[in-house]
Amino acid sequence: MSELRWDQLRREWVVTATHRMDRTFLPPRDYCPLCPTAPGGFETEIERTDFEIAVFENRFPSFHLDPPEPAIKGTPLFPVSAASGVCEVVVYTPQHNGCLADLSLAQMRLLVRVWRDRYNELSARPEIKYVFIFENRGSEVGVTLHHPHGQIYAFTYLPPVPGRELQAAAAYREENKEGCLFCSVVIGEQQDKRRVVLRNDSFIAFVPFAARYPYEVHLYSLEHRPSLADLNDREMDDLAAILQSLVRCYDNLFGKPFPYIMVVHQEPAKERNGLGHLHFEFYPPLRDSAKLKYLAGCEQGAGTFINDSLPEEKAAELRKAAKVV
Amino acid sequence: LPQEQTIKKEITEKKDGRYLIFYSWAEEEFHGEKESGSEPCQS
Repeated sequence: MSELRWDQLRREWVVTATHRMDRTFLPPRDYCPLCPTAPGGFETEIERTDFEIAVFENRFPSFHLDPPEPAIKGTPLFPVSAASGVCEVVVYTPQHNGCLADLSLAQMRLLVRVWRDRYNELSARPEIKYVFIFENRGSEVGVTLHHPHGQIYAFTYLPPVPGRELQAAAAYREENKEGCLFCSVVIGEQQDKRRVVLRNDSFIAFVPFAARYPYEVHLYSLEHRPSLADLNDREMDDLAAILQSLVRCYDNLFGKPFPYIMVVHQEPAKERNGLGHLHFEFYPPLRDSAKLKYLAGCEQGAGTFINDSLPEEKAAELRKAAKVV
Repeated sequence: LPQEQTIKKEITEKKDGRYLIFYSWAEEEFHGEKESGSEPCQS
């Protein structure tokens, strides 16, 4: 069963997807569904002995190309909608062991182009309003398969977090005669310098001024690029390079695999008005090498994050870790 | 700008009807490794 239920109080959709309770959970190495199928071996999702990057429809999707009827009938007070959309899995490499940081630069460059192709293709579907690329890394953030992979959700509506950013950008544009809020943030961080972690010719990575997680990092295109579709070849290569440097810096920080949630925010599929600005956001759950930042009462119930650290100090730690990668 | 770098895309269908797409570089020359293109900020 899968459906959308509208939360009238928060004014946002919640997905019920009961079939996901049965999804593959931390399988043994020989039964990894994301590995290439070995001759005579367990039949995986990828029936080839080798590949570079593979993308397929999730076997346990939250959204469906052909959605089932909702389990319950909606009312004006309790609206219900079919869970339409697309859920894809992006397998970064045929190698079972490893992570994004282990990809070669050539493989990372290919991955950026795969993301761009998926953004273009899924955005072109008439029902799709927003293409959301993300990766969950580490059991600390609920990963159920350790094989290096990410996911893409193609929404039939604009989800609330990028929606709020775009609303803020629209208000800023209104108040500042065509200015871009995201570009202003990028310029402000470059001028301030204290929170900047990495940069190259096309991208900059910084701990945001109001970071909610101690090691949160945002990665922006320096020029105004609304989406992956707007990058040229050089910029895609620069994105691959800085992403590789950032995830390697994270792993270097504590000398062990560093868990994170990585999300990509960009222009919605159908509203190509230049309001969006391509950026990646990393939300790492660690607040030091052994302690987790939990989303507790104030974060969950009041919507206010409490960060136990200063973004300027955490940026300095990350710069140090980046220098010795 | 460098020469356009193109990718190969092969769309297949799994037994249960789901699509499975394979991506790879179209040109061997783009497989070359480079150490890093990013520098830590000096601030």
